[in-house]
Order: sequence, then structure tokens, then C-alpha cells
Amino acid sequence: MGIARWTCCSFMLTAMVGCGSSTLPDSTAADSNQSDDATAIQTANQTQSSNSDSDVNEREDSSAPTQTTAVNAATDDHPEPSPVTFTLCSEGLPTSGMWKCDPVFADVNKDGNMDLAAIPRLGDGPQVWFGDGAGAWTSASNGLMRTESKSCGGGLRLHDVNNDDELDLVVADHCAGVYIYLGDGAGNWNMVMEGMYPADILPPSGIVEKYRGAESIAVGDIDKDGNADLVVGASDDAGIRMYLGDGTGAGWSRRDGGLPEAGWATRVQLEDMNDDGWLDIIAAYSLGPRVFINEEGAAWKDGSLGMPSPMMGGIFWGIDVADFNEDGRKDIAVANWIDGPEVYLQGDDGMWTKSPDVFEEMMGGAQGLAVGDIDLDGHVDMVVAGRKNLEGGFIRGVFLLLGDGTGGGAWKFLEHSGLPVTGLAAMAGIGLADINNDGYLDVAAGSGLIVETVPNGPRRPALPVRLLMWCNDAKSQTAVAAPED
Amino acid sequence: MSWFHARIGNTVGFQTCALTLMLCAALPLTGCSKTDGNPSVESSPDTTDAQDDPAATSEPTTEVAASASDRMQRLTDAAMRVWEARVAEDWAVVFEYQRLVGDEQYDVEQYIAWSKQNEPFVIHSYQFEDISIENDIGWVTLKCESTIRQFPNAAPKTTARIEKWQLIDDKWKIVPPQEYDLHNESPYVRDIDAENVLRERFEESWQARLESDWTGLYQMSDPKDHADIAEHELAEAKDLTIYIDREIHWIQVIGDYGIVRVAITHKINDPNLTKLPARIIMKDEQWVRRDGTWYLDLRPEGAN
Repeated sequence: MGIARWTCCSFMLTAMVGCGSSTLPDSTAADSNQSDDATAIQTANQTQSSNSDSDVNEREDSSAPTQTTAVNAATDDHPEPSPVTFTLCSEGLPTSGMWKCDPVFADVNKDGNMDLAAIPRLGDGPQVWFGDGAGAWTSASNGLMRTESKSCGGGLRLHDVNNDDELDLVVADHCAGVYIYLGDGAGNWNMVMEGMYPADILPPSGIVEKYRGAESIAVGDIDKDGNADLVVGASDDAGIRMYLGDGTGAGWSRRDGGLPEAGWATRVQLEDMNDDGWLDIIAAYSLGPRVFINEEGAAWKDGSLGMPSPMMGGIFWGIDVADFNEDGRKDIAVANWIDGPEVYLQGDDGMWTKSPDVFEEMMGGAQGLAVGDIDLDGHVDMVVAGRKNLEGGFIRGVFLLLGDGTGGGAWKFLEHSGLPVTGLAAMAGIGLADINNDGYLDVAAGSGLIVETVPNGPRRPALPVRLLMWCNDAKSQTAVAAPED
Repeated sequence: MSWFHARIGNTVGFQTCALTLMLCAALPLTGCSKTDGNPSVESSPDTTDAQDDPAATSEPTTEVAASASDRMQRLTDAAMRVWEARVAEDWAVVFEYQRLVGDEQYDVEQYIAWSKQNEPFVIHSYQFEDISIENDIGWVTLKCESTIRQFPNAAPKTTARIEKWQLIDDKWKIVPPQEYDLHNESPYVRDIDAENVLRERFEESWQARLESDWTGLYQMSDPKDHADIAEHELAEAKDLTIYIDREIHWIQVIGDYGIVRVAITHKINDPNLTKLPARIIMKDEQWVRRDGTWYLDLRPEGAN
């Protein structure tokens, strides 16, 4: 019947901001802040909902006072007070650039404060900032400057890849492949791998660009040999690739088998999805969200039964994992360029079931997404970068959705949380971490991407910062509210 | 929608056409007949309007008829003036009835200069056969005798043509070639009765689309296509679309072939693309009549 499948590029015409193809200007992706290595377990406990003891204790300690902050009945003139509020805390972060990634966090210099890494499109390479624990940032990027070519955005991770107990920076560059920078913990970085990509799969025609770019990357010990390994999502047509590390940070050997060898993945993440002790792959793959089950480090098995394959390719970007319905199984949230955030619940048979629309008001699609217990009520919440309608211009925003532990369609959108729901440039990703050590997750957004030209519309975004950070003020609110009780 | 028809006598010399104006002031669902062996004609009805307005099924009002008569007369006058001017090569007059489209930019002097230099045909005479109007579109059916300017000694040839006109800002203009396909053919060559039957058949098929009744739609498709396209293939293709609304722009039946030009409002039927806005596509849907029944042509000739 000649019914054409919608493609990423046809989708571009609608969305006007890009997709996961190196031939298109604003395609992007990066990884969520979800960590997948030993060092990052610390980060994961702070940034993701988990079942760890420390997390449970934290919830118990703070749940009651948090609830006291939301007691007034809402009226038209006086909207219901938000149980959490955010204020901008981006001092020292870039006021220009196109930060086309999920910002990632870890304590690089071991001072007890979260540090930050991000990579821009059309920039000079990835950058790292040390946090002071109070929302101020200092550049710690010695050795990261790229002079030979511009960076294109993509994905990055902070992870010890050479077993020296210092965090290293692993970068997937949309245009140029994988870079590895070994860190010394003091903000100095030594590049030991440059532009790695699966060169041996190039066709005889020698088309390189289609296979060189890497859109996303995840790090973890896939084969349990004690060394960090990589999973790389291509930016165009090289599929999803696994590289086993030798513990030096410079030696990587590719292992094929069971992963897609074509298409692209805007996000890849390593999580043990079936609790068998082996890291599995979660991917925002070009055909749709996908799960690949690790068969004891030897091969991958598709675990995506129930996941969609929409007519339009490349519409899924940000992806994250948590137990949304509190049934003990890990579920997946993914940002859909058209329909906004989606939640897929894992059944006891490993099959996936899509929840009802979790954010009906979002009619303009989502790009970035991260999950965590924002209000410390014990339920996983969601922060989404996107737009509420299809109007063009600086209308993107960051949206907080509070979960109720069911994982269904009952997520509560907090419009007055202090996160701007409009006025921003296009965004690529979201990261969550407790940057000021108050026990509450704070929010970072990679912003500054090109927006549509709108006649008589604002020429600049509402906020001057392009790598945006908001601190969660829930604790200070609680302190104010407590005496009244 | 009203359809008017003027039958032009062909017994008089080309310069002074005797005009036998037969005005058919048809309103929706009210037919009118052409004489002289022409097929019976009806309006291209706006069914909805007609059903909503009881008065629409009665005889046309004098005002409407007069208005239509006036438009018909003015089209006749305009066409005669243009064709007289073509014979006389009075390009300034012809220019009055041209309409620029797109980024075209030329004035009367440029048009005259171009025509004198480039107009390929020399028109020796013309003869109107029919003038018809439907709303703001008019058709002038004629024969003309012409030679190619580059070969002045060649014998003149008589060719038939139907010229499309459009009423714009209360003045009839010749439809530019770029827009010819926007309008259907003259009622003079169309089967108006069959068009009304096809309209009903299309509406039946539209209902099947609204209800995702692909079996029903398949039964309305051309049996000759069934060897190539199975019902499940049609269903799989149609399942990708959610049909929302339609607006028929025109229907044309010539012989056993019909075209329904329709604007279809639809959405992609995909659970992960539910918030894509509805889109409107303009479609020329092909239909074929077999043994008196209209069938949707799934594979019209010339299509892939």
C-alpha cells in the first residue's frame, strides 16, 4: 500500500529542533545522571529512588515536615503552595553555549560535595565544575579543552575506569565518538582515548561520519572482571556497541552479540533490571525504548517485550529507571518528543506495560527526563524538560511531576515549584543530585539549544544561564513551617 | 452550490456568436437538465446546507437566479471580449483577464511585448460551444481555428479546448495554467447525475473509515485490485490513520471514472504519537464504476 514509515527526519519537520542523526544540526542526547559503577553508587543513592537503607531512613526523617508545607487550600487567586520550591543556583556555570547532554554529577575531588560535568554542542569539549556544596561552581577542566574540532554534545559519565580510585571522564561525542580522560581528582584530565568508534564496520564505500559519532555512553563492570566496561549508543547508524575495558582506561575491545548493529541510541544506561546481579542495558533506541538482558557477560538477550516501536523513529530521548509502582521491580520512564514522558512498568514475567499518560498537559513533547524522590515522600518523582504546547520560540520549561507510588497516570504536576515551565531555550537533558548536602535532590538542565524563530517573540530565554541548576528549597521551607506546627 | 449552463449556438460565424443562454438556476439537491442531447445535469450539491435549510429544496429565489444570470452573462461577455482580442491580437485586452500567480511579475507593456514576440499561435476564428459556471468557477468550451506563428503558410487547424475562469473580486479572470488542476472539468463534459451517486458512495466509504470498518471499505474497493491487495493489507495500512473529518471540494465523473477531491483531516494512529496535531491532506481519490456500482480504486492507472 506504500505507507511510508515516519522517519526521524520527517519528525524533524514537525519538531524543528533535531534528532539523533549526525546529518541534522541539533540532534543530541546524553545519558541520565544515573550511575552504574561502584563509585557512583553513592551518587545513585542520592539521585535515584532506591531500596537502600540510607534512602529509606532519609525518607522517614523528612516526610512529615515536608507534608506540612502544603496545607493551604488552593484557590484561583492563590494557587496551592508547592510542597517543594526551587531557586536558581547556577553561580559560576556557563551563560552561553548549547549544553546538549544530561548533566552528570559525582564527587570528583572527594570534598563531600557534588561536582558537575557537561558537554556542549559547537563547544570546546566537555567541562567539569567543582561544587562548593552551596550552589556555586568552579571550573575544573584542565586538559579537557578541544582545539582540533568542536564538540557536538552527547553523553558523558564520571567513573573510575583505570582503577586508581579517582573518577575519570568518559565522553560520547555526537560527531567524533568516544573520548576517555583520566582524572587526578584535582581537576586535571589526561586524554587517553580519542574518537573511538567501530571503524571496522565501515562499508566499502568508506562512509565514515555515519558510524563515527556516539550519542550516549554508560559505564559499568559488565563481565564482572573488576574493570569498567562501556556501552555506547551511536549517533547515527552504528547501533549500540559494547567495549570491554582492561583496567587502564586506554584499552578497549569491542564485543558484538545481541545488540543492535544499526540505528542510534540517544541514551544508554546500565542497570540490573532483573536483579540477577548482572548489569543490563536500557536504551532510548531509535526504534523505541529497549532493554537488553546481560547473559552473564557473554551475550545480550532482548528484554523489550511490550516496548513500542512507533511509526516515527528517534522520538525517545531521556530515559531513567526506578520502581515507580513500588512492586519491587524496576520500571522505566522515557521522554517522548511528541507525547511527553512515558512510564513502562515491568511485570513479573519481564514484560513491559505502558502506564496511562503521566503528563496530559504536556502537548509539546519532552526531551530530558530524570527520576528521584524530590519531595522525600517515599515515592519516585520525575523532572521533565520539554514544552507544554507546540508553539515555537523560548517556551521550553522544566516540569516537576510528583509520583504517588502507583506508577499510573496519577502524577501530580507542580506548576509553581519554582522550576520555569516556559521561557527557556530548547533543552537536551536533566540531571538530579543533592548539590548542597541538604538531603533533597536538586535539578540541572542542559539548555541553550536552538529554538524556532517566532515573529515578535522574545529573542532570548527568560534566564541568562544555559547550563541551568536549581536548588531544592524544601528543607528551608520545612524549617520555616515547623514552628507554626 | 449552483450550476449554470449556457448553450452556444454554432450556426453563426465565428465573429458574432449567437448565444443561446439556457440558465439552470439549480440550488442544492435541485436538478436541472441540459437540452440538445447533453446529459441530465444537477448541481454539485452542498448536501449539508440543503438539509439544514428547508428553503433550499424549493425553487431558487429570483435574487439568486438573477445573480447567477448576471455572473453567467458577465463571463460570456468577458470570454467573448478575450477571444475577440486574441483574434485581433489586442494583447492589452487579453492582459486584463490574466492573473499573476506566485512570484510572477509583469505589467501590461511587458505582456504585450512578450506576446508579440512569443505567442506561438495565431487565432483566426473561434466558436463557443458551451459556457458553464459553478459558484465562482466558469468553463468556456470552444473550438478555435489557429496556425502556428512560425509556419504562416500552414493550413489552419481546428482544435477544441475548455478554458477555465474564476470570479475574483467580482471580475472573471482566466485561471492561470499553474492552477488548472485545482478545479474540476466543465460540467459540459461531466456526468452530474453520476457525481451525485458517487458523492453518496464516498460518504458511505467515509463512514466506514470513521468506524475503522476496513472490511466494509474493502468491499467498496475495486474488485480488480483484490488480486493484488488483500483485505488485511488494506486494514493494516488504514489502521495507521485515525480519520477525523473531510471536506469534499469537488467531484468529477467522466465516463466510468470518478475523482473525489477531498480535504481529509486525520491523525496518525500510534499510541506513542497521540499528541501529534491533526493534519489536513488534499487528496484526489480515484473511483471506478463497474456494472453501475462505484468502487474505490486502490491502484489507479499510473499509480505505483
